[in-house]
Amino acid sequence: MNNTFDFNRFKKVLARDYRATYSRFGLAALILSLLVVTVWIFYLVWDNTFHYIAEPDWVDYQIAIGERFSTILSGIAISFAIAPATIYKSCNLKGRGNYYAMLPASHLEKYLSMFFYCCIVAPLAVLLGSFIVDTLLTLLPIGYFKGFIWNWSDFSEDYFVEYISSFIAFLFLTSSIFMFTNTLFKRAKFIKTALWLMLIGFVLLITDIAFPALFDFIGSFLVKFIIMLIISFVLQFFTYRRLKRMQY
Amino acid sequence: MISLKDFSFSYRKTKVFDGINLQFEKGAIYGLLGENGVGKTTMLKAISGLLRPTAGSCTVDDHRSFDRKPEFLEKIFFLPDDLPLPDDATPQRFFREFSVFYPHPDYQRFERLSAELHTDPSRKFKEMSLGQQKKALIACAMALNTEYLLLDEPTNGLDIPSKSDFRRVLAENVKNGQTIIISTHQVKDVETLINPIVIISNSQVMLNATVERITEKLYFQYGPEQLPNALYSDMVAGGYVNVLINNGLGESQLNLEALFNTVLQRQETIYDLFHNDNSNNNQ
Repeated sequence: MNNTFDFNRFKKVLARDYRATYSRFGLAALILSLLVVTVWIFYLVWDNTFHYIAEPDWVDYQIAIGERFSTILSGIAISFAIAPATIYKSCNLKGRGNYYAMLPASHLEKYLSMFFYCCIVAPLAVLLGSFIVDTLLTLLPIGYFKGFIWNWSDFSEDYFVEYISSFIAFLFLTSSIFMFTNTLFKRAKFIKTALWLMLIGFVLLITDIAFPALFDFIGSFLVKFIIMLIISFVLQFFTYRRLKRMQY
Repeated sequence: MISLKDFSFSYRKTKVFDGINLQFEKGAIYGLLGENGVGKTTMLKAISGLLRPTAGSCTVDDHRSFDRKPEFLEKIFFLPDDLPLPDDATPQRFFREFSVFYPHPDYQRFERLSAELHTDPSRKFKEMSLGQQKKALIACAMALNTEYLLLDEPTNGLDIPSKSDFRRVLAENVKNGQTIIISTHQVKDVETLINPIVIISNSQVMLNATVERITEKLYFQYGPEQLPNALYSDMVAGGYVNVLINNGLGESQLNLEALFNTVLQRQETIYDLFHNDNSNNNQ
């Protein structure tokens, strides 16, 4: 028997984790997919009311596709952050985590499945859901969503490639941080991680003020990109290691 | 075979086991007895790979438990006492979800055992009483047909008829070559079921012997009065049970509760009696 990786066994872990993802993350994915609706409602109700009184030609206004796209990306970023603590909440808990630990599958299979659902399936579900919701809102005769999101001209701009690669690296980092802290903290995982990140951010801010030259160097796109990837891979490794050495 | 060699375990500064040696042979229903907090659950967790020994080793068929390799994990199932369950799950779903990972699950056996234990496998766990949940999980655990089955305080929360059902179901359904370890402090509940008996106390294994071996070494005398030379005496219906060293007194019927109390109260005597003997398999 291959004790490290067996594809048939891995499929079983995926199937089991799918049920957990569906039941625990389904509602969160739906809510995050509906984030774009808040933008739609905000402009329809709030801005329309006030601007229409001041500027009667407001009816021709349309919300920039970039704004809609940013909202969708925010939803995806949140999904990266909450997916580990939602889907694999009990993976490091005494009692509740027993069955996860004793499931006859290898550490690698369990880790890969966790990675697959937290880093690929959960954000893709939100992306797909958001695109569907955005499209439906665009098709409505009311509101200010004009033009389908995939027709956004900025997609073809050169800077967009740089923007999107740094954003993907940032998301990977976010996911890696939250996957790691999900194996580290027992309770209030999301809040504790957020507080730690704020503390680290504060320290970095102080360092930036004290050593501006250092941050000028780090601030370049490529260096930032590489640093984010290195930290992400290190955290992924430690997540795997903690799963392997966890006591219950 | 489960083997603990020079096994030590501590929770931070609290020492639970200190260099114990213990073996659980295949094909028997072991009773793992001890007072509350003595480390029975810790031992079961270490055997099932949930805890890492602080020193020594814990192996199951030559697999180090804590490595938690699939080949080891599919041989063993541990049913803890305080198992949190998904509220919306049914025993049926629970069994189906886990059984795909084990080599010899038997769904028909699961349904039969559920019926024998008077639980409805299609009912949600959250709608069941603690005793019913426990019985449903026992049915799941037994139907997985693992080589090793570890049951931690299985009779906790069961009413008197359910305890009888549990004993009957376990006795009738244990598979050839299957090893079951039942940990409990309620010794009466498993009296007729277990053989051999392991008693732990003070971070040590005080006793690991078959019933035959125990009654060879100790004599359980039932009479109207306490005997002055008894290692331990206790009241039973109609008189007393006196535990004596069996110096050719013959065979007697083991009283598990009296044995348990004797071991706890006369630790040195019992230790010498059973450990200075090569025929005992655990040392």
